[in-house]
Amino acid sequence: MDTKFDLSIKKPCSQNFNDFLPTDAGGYCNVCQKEVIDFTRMTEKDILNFFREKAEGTCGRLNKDQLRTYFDSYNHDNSNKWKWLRFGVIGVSSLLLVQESSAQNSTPTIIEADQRVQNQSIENKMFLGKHLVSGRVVDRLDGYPLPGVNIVIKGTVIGTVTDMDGNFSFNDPLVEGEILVFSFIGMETEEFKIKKNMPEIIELNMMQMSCDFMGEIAVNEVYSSKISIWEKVKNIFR
Amino acid sequence: MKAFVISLLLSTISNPILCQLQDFGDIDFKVADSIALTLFGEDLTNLPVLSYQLTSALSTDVEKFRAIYSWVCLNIINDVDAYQLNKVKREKLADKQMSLNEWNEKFRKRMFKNLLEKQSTVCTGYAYLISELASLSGLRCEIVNGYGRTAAVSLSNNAIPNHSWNAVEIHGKWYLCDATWSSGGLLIEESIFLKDYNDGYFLAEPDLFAYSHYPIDTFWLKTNSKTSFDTFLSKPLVYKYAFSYQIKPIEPAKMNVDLKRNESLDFVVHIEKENIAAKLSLSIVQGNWTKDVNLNILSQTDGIYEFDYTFNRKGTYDVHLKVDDDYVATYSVRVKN
Repeated sequence: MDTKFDLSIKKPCSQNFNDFLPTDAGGYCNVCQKEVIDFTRMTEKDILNFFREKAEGTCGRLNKDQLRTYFDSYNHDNSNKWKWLRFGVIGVSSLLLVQESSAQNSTPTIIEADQRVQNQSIENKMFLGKHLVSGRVVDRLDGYPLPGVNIVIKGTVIGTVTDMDGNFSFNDPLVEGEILVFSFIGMETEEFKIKKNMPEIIELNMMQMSCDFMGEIAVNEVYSSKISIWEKVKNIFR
Repeated sequence: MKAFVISLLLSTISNPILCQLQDFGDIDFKVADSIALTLFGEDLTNLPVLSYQLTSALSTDVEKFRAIYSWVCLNIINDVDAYQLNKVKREKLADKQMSLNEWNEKFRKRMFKNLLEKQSTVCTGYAYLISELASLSGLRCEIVNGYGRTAAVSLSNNAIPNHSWNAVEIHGKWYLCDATWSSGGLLIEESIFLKDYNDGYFLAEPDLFAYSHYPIDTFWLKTNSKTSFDTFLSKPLVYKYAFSYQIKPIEPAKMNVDLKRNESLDFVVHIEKENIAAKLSLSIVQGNWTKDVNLNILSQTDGIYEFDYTFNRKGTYDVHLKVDDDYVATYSVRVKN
């Protein structure tokens, strides 16, 4: 589960940034009695860092293309860092669109940034590692691949299925602590927990269920004792 | 004999409160049952997701189990052909462990394949599905193997286990249930399995359950005192209506009774509901001759009813306890001079 926030305009401001008293981070607005952060000089990384700390209600000066969704993924591996940033402009009010003349408008706009955090447990999730999971499922007895095995994230309906060669992969990374449930009718269900030091590729064995099969069906018939011929004869003379 | 299934419209659950459900206060299974209904027709290709869909919206464990139980009884078809084939094979190979194991391996593979592809199976398949769906939803649920007594089965001391059912743990206590027997019954002559839901086997009262179910591992009896296998074999025969009407025959303690002519046969029966007691009757059968008798109730205290009947003639009689036209239990009475 990624943490993401949307930078969007809550209340467009009509003040002119150049009139503000300069501060370290931007300028001071007398009307709102607030420091207005100048995001136009920040990199994406800086913006992400900034909003990790800050609560809602930041006033800022941004370029139009900075008004988008930011995905925050705390990841030791730097090469993957920007993999999770999605690019799309959201939350831009129609009023602003009318005012802007071009996509590459360099005139910054003052907005009140609206930080909406998707994942409520941001404090916890932010520091949990994520893993791109894939692997193979085989029959423990003979080592043959098992196609059609369901792999579901426990407690959800999100999952995948092994292919003809027993291989599977998850497109979205899984978070440490999540449990994968491996299920196939007739086989013992297995669980696998996503941990920090897990193998890159999971090799999982599944066992056949070893139950004895029996099947006494309930009958709609009622007990009837067999009677001897003698009884039958006697009944005739009743 | 080609067997096929007749699917009736699911009969609505009759009595809302059955014995063990007293543990759960005034619980109502309407929501759980309706969830099961909305998932009617789902296949078994993804059990974790099915389990989730059946249970995630329910807040109590008993309701989650109920949704699963209802769904299985509704959707799974009893494979009568397979039952008959397996029964014959198992009886034939009873003494030959190796061959029996080999047969079981083959049969098991076929059973799981059929379960997946046709949603049809024998009782162990039902029990497997119940335990799997329940376990996936976080409940402890086991398959219990043992002996099932019906009118069509004559079990002896040497009998091999012939039935599977389930035990589920809810709030630290184990409850018993039999989805196969809940879902319907076999019409022997026509070889047709008739789907007719009986609620009596859902969280059944252990003492009564022990009249017709005896587990290999007696841990699963769950009765106050453990009965022996011999005692089990000798008990009066009870049917599904004993469970749904909550009627337990106490005396005579054994199914086979020896009596003298004109000596009264004394019955003691526990009946949970007074209005049901009013409908109880005896049906005395000898060959083609049947006599329906209204009860002469001698005493009634706290649900315990005593009545008797006297036989005037010698002979062997089937004595049935009935509620309206529904058979509850049977004794076999031999009257001598």
